Formats: sequence, C-alpha cells, structure tokens
Amino acid sequence: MILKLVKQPQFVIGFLFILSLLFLSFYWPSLFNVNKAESLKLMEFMYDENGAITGSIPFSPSEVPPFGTDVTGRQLFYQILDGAKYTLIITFGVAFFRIFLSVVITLINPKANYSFLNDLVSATLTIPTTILAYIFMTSLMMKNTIEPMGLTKLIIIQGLILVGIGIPPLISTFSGEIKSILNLDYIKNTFALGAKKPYVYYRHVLPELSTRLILLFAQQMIQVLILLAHLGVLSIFIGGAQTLMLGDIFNLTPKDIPLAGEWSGIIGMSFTKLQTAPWAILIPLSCFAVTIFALNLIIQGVQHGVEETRKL
Amino acid sequence: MDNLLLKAQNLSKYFTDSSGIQKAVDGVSLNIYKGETLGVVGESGSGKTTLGRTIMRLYKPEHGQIWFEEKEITRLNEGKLRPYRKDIQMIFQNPYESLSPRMTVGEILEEPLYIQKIGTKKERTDKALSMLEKVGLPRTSYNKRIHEFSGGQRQRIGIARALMLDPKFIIADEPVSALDVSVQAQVLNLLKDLQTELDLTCLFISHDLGVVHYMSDRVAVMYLGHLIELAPKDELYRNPIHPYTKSLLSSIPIADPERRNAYREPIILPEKPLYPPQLIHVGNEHYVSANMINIKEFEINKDEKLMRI
Amino acid sequence: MNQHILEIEKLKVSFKKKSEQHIAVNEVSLQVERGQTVALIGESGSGKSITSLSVLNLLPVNGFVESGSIRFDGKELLTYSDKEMRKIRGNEISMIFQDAIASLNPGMKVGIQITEGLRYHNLIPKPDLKSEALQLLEQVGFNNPAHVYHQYPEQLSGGMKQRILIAMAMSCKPKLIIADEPTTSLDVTIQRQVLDLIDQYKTDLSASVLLITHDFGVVAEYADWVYVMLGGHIVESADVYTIFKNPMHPYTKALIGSIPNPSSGQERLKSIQDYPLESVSNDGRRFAPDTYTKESSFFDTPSSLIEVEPLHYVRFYDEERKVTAIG
Repeated sequence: MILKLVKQPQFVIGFLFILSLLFLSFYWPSLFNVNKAESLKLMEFMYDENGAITGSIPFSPSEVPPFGTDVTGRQLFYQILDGAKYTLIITFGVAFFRIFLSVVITLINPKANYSFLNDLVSATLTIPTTILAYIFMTSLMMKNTIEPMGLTKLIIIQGLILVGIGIPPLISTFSGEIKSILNLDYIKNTFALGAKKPYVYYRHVLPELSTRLILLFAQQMIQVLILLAHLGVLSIFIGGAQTLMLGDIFNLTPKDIPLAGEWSGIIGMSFTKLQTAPWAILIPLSCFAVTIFALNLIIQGVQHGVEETRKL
Repeated sequence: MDNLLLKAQNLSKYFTDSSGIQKAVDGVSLNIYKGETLGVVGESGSGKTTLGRTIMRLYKPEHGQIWFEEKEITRLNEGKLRPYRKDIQMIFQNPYESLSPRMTVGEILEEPLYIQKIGTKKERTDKALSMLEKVGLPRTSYNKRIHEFSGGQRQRIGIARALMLDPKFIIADEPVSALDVSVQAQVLNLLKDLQTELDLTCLFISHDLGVVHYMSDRVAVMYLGHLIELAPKDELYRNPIHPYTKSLLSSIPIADPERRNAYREPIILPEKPLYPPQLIHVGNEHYVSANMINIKEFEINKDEKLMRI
Repeated sequence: MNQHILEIEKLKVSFKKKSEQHIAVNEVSLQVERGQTVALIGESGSGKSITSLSVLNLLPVNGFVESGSIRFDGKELLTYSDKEMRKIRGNEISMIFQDAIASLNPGMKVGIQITEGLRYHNLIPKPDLKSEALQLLEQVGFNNPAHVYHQYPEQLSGGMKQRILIAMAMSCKPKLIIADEPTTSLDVTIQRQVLDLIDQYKTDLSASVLLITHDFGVVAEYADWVYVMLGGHIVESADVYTIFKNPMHPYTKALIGSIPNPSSGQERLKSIQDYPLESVSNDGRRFAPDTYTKESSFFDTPSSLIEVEPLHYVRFYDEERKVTAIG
C-alpha cells in the first residue's frame, strides 16, 4: 500500500509540501539566519538612516518584503512560517482524536444502532459547525476572562471542543461502515474459528478500514483548517489572547493579540483592518487555501492508489 | 444411537426487521451421525443457511438445543465455545468474500492454528504446506495473495483453511454455487475425496438438488424455515412424499434430451403452517411432515410412528 | 421467405480498456431457424451475452462491433440507425434479461409497464391497452390480473417479476426473443415455470428463441440447436440430440460430464481435468481452469469449425490434429 502511494505524484507532492512546511516552521531562524525574537518583535514605525520616520504600521508587502506586516508591525512572513507548526499540529491533533475517538466509540458496541444519532446528525447538518464552535468557544473565553486558567488547560479545553463537535457525524459514518465489514464472510469465518474480538478488530477490521481512515483523516484536517480560518475571522484564538493598548495617547484602542501564533489568530487580529491592510488577511487565508489544496492532493493520491489496487 | 455426532432439537432462529419477526428457522430437529453427509436442500428463503450458521453457533438460537458429542453447546458463551470451534468448521459460499484479500495464502491457512494457539511457527507452516498439497494447489501458492487465484482455486483454499484444525464436523454452505459449472465438479470431487480420506462428517447445504444428491447420504428438505422431509437420498429421490419435495424434484432439468417429457408434474407450493410440522416415520428411515400426508395411507409401525429425537 | 430469422456471420466485438483492445467475441457465426429455440451456452467470460447484446446494438459504451454481419429477417441490422433500431427493439426482437429487479421501473404500476412497448410502437389503440395488459397478465399465469395490474414491482416476488418481464417481452408479439440467462437468479421450481412460459409462447406465436445460458440441463429440456461458446469462439455446434449423444470438443464433454445427475447414479463427476484433451489440443494448458476464462494467446492461434459429421461442427486448432480427430 505504502509503496503504491509513493508512486502517486499527487500524494508525493501534497505530502512533501506539508512536510517541508513543518520543517521550515521549526527551523526557520537558523535557515534564514535571523533572530527569532528580533524578527517577530513589535514595530510601530519605520525609520530611515537619519532616524526620521518613514512609515507607520501596518506596512505593506512593498515596504517590508515579502509579505508586509500585520497591524502590530510584526513581519507576516516569519509569523506565518512560525505559526505553521501550531496550525498544522492543532489540525493534526484535532483530526486524529476525532477519528480515533469515533472508531473506539463505535468498536465498543459495533452492533449499536445509533439511529437517534443519525437523525440528530442529519438534522444539525444545516447548522454550520463554525457557529457551533463559536457558541462553545465564546462561553469558554468569557469564563477565561473572569477566572483565567493556564494556557495548556485552555488549549486542551479548546481542542476538546473542536474534537467534540466533529465526532457525532463520524460515528454515524463509522458505525455503518464497521457493521458492513463485520458482516463480511471472512470476518464471520474468523469468528467461527473462535477468535476473540480484539484480535479480529486488530487483524481484519482495521486493515479493511485503513484506506478509508487515511481519506477521512485528510478530510477531517481540511474541515478543521476551514473551521480554524472561520474562527479566526470571528476573533476566537486558540490559546487565548492578550489585550494590548495600541495607538497614541489620544486614541487608545485595545487590541487582542493571539498568544499562540497560529494562522487563524493572524486573520482575526487583522480583520478589523480589512480595508487598510488587506494583505494581512489575504495572505494567511491563501496559506490555508494552499495547505487545503495539498491535503486534497493527498486524498486524490490515496484514491488513485486504492483504485489501482482494486484493479489487480 | 452411539455414533451420534450432532443433534439439534426443536431449533429456532428468528430475525427481527421492519416488517416484524421473521422465523428463519422454526422448530428443526436433526441427527447427524459420524461419517455421514447430511444434505440440506431448499430454495431461497427456506432458512437453510441460517440453520447451518445456527448449528455452527454463529447465531444464538431462540429456542431449542444443540448437542455436539453429547454435550450441550446451545447456551455456551464465546469463551466456552472455543474448544468446539476447533471441531466444527465451515466452508462458505462465496470464495471471493470468505477469504481476506489482505493476507497471503500462508497467513490465511495458519490463522486458525494461531487463533487456537496450536503448534509452533514452523509446525504451522509445515501443516499449511501439506494442506495446500492435499487440496491440489502447488506449494508456491503459500506466498501469493488471494486475488491471484481463480474462483475454483480460492474455494480450494477455503476448504484447506477449514481443514487446518482437523475438524470432526464440516458445514459446507453452498460451496460451489458461485463457481462455473466445469469448476464445480472439481471442487465437489475434491470435497468428496477429502471426506473419505479424513473421515469427516458433513452438513452439505445447497439449493441444487443434483449437487446434494451427488454429495450426500441422507437429504433433508427445508421449506419456509421448516424441515419437511428427511430420508436417505435414493429413497427421497425415488419416492418423495411431501408435495413440495415432489415439485422440487420434478423441476430439475434433466440433462438428456432423449428423456424430454411434455408432461409436467404440477408445482405445489403449500402455505406455511402456523406451527412447525411433526415429522412421521413412514419406513425406510424416511420421515415426512405430518400435516401434508394422510397417515392412513402408510403402514406405520405404531411404536415408531413419531420421530422422537 | 428466408429459412433463418437471425443470421450472425463472422461477428467480431472488441472492448477498449484504456489503450488495450480486448476481443470479446471472435468470428462468431450462428443461425436461428424460424420456430426453433437455439441455445448459446458458455461460462462466465465466454462472450455469450456480448453476442446477444450486439444483435440489438445494446453494447456497453466501450464495446463496438469490428466486423461481421447480423441479418434479422434478411435485413442487415449493423447498418441500421438508432431510430431504425428502436423500431426493431421490443417490436420485432425482444429481450429478457437476467436481472428482473433491475429491468423494471420501481415507480410504475406493472400493468402500465407491460404495455409500454405497445404504446411506444402504436400497435393498438389507446383505449384497448388496459384490456390487452390484463390479457397478457393472465397469459403469463397470474390468476388475478386485475389485482396485479395495479401493483408495483417491489410488491412482487422474483419469479413474478420475471413473468412480468416476459409479458412485456411478448406484448408486441416479436418474431425473436432473446432470453439472456432468464432463470439464473431464480429458484428451480420457478425456473421451470418461467421456461415453460417462454416455450409456450414460442409455440403459440411460432416465434424463435435465442436462449443464452450456462446450464446444460436447461438446454437439454428446451433447445433444438446448441452452440457452445468458449473464450469468444464457438467451439461446437450441433442439434441438441447429437451434442448430448456425441460431444466432440473436450470442453463440451466436460460441461456435460460435470452435471450431477440424480437419476443416473454416477459414482464420480467428470471434471475438466479428467479430459486429457485427447484429440484436439496440442497441450493441456487450454483447460487448466485458470487459463481458459482469461484471454490467453492460445485463442489467437488459427482455428476453424470443421463439419465432423453432417450438421455437427467442432472447432479444431491445427491441421494435423483435425485429421486424427476425424479418423
């Protein structure tokens, strides 16, 4: 299976893109030979050699190549590189736990009917997941402002919310799928030999599910990415935010700065400045788009690989 | 009788679906003696496959008992059933679905031994190789995967897998109905040879009366979940009593144009009786369901009138 | 009037799979005489269904007729346009498919459905359609046609659906009925009823039947003439009595020998391995079970049908063997 995937160009391209993004995200300071703290520092004004102010935040991509800065004056390029690892790891983790938990829940009682769940899922399909997530997240944020909890705890709870809202539809997918697998003759055949359930699940059901799992995993990552982008627009930051006072003394404006530097935070932070600094939104959004594209390539590669195996 | 291997009494298995309870198997009693092949014949919906799977204890019966070698196995849980799983094996209908497409032939054959924790790795491999030879496949098949084989060869592998644990009893559920006619004959011959060689007892389930006749010593006819007639095969094919059995037998196309006959026995498909019919002994080890015959027509010895198993 | 209702001559049908071309039917010639039932028998992959589909120009999209001719009632069907073919289909040649469930429209009352052909071809005035439908239903053995008329396909059993299909096929009183495995998915008691029905119609309307099957039992009961197909070729053809009495091709012998026959009490079934291909082939590989269904280079070797006795044709694969086989 893995050998066949390596032969699929789409899979290889998508996979390499994600891998190199991760790699860059961890090692960019040494690769570009810059100081991390220095390049992510806040910058309000730009000075020329004589110390005169030549520009103020936010700087456009032509002023500070290649991507310009956000509203707080941090370089977008480095910020995006640095944020890639958080974004990808959060997405990966949320997608993984969604799949893992729903498979485990389904396998605990594979014969369960979940008919109420199916009805619920089909009824709630009309509610965008973003809204669901937003409702849960805002109340969490509210609680956080009243009695602040630690960063790790906050991230874990936020992660749980992101995982939780994705599980019900997955369970209804898996329960149908696993039921039909358990009805396959060769699985029955193995039970007839006196095999125990864990053995059959591990040896037969999971391999049968495996390609499906890879596909669903990539799909879930895409869904989580989209969800993160939407949440960013709604100013929900994973890891919470710190309020900074920006502007001059006469015009103080409170500004939420995301603590973890993932991409949705960049979007949310700059969203109010959509008119003056469109690049600060468009660039992270395009990064989401490109990553989703890479994941779609992976999905296509897997599907091609599966088709070719079937033909044999 | 002392050479009784398996006995099922008043066995019932119901399924529930949207339209209510379906009595797939209803009140079936059977004896299977050591070394014989009991054929079960019936059309779609007769419950023959369900009967096989219930005897195998893949399903839990609603009523009735199953004894295997004088021990009751009806209510045993999976753990207690494990030793019996070794003695009762099943050959499935569709060789394209009953073998895992992800494993090599070697793994498929060794899996039963692995599950039952028998032998070392080396012993399992040796056994698998010798079993391959026994079912007429080259030893080189060991490392191949299932998709490299044709339907007939796959069914040979299915048979080999069922024989790996040296079972005493084999349930063959339509083992050739998915195969082309010319391949069918090979698989049937192989099964018959192995049965003699290994002294196997067999429950042979099929919809094809010709195949059942070829394979079996005694034949049981199932109709709508009930057992309606049971007799040694020659007796049954020569002297069917139940109208449904008669219709069934007269419907087989005879592969001989010289014996083409314009006259057709009318086909009678009786209604399903409310209760499972009682089987009555009418002589020659021939049992037939009581509700469809006029008992007075048969000279029945009073003592053995009712088949009490 | 032509003696044959259907004449297929040197028909060659290919399938395109990606860039490969795979010949499914190779130089098949067959004739259906008026008023007769002709059986085309073969196993999966032999090309028997493809042959029948090409008669009605209903080949799957990637299949096409390369060469040959199909003459129906003296008319060359291969040159017909789609419009002309539609007039033939259902009206003069009708087809009964294996899968009765898939061949009926689930959302349409069966009474309406069986007269669809009549309506389409404008054969009888509209007001008479219902009475015609009821009559057809009665002919195919329904005791209460008025009740069945208003039912939907899902309310009927498999055998009943197959009878509806037959009623549909008969509605336009076609001259030729092509029955493609009409009873394969049916129980044996229903199989007999369905085949008797087709046979009855054939006699009543002096139509002809092309019966496609894999079952030599069915052939023995219903066919007049038999063509045996293997790997896209016709390997043997003769009338039904000759073919059972004196099969020549090892494949035919194997097929006949492998039928378990309760009334003959045979001790052992003959299977293909038991035929050492005595007189016909050069080596044994042809009938090794894994090679004969697949396309193999073997089928490309030149061969021809030889008349071994009057009106009994067998395919031989090279000149030398032919002599020994006849001698």
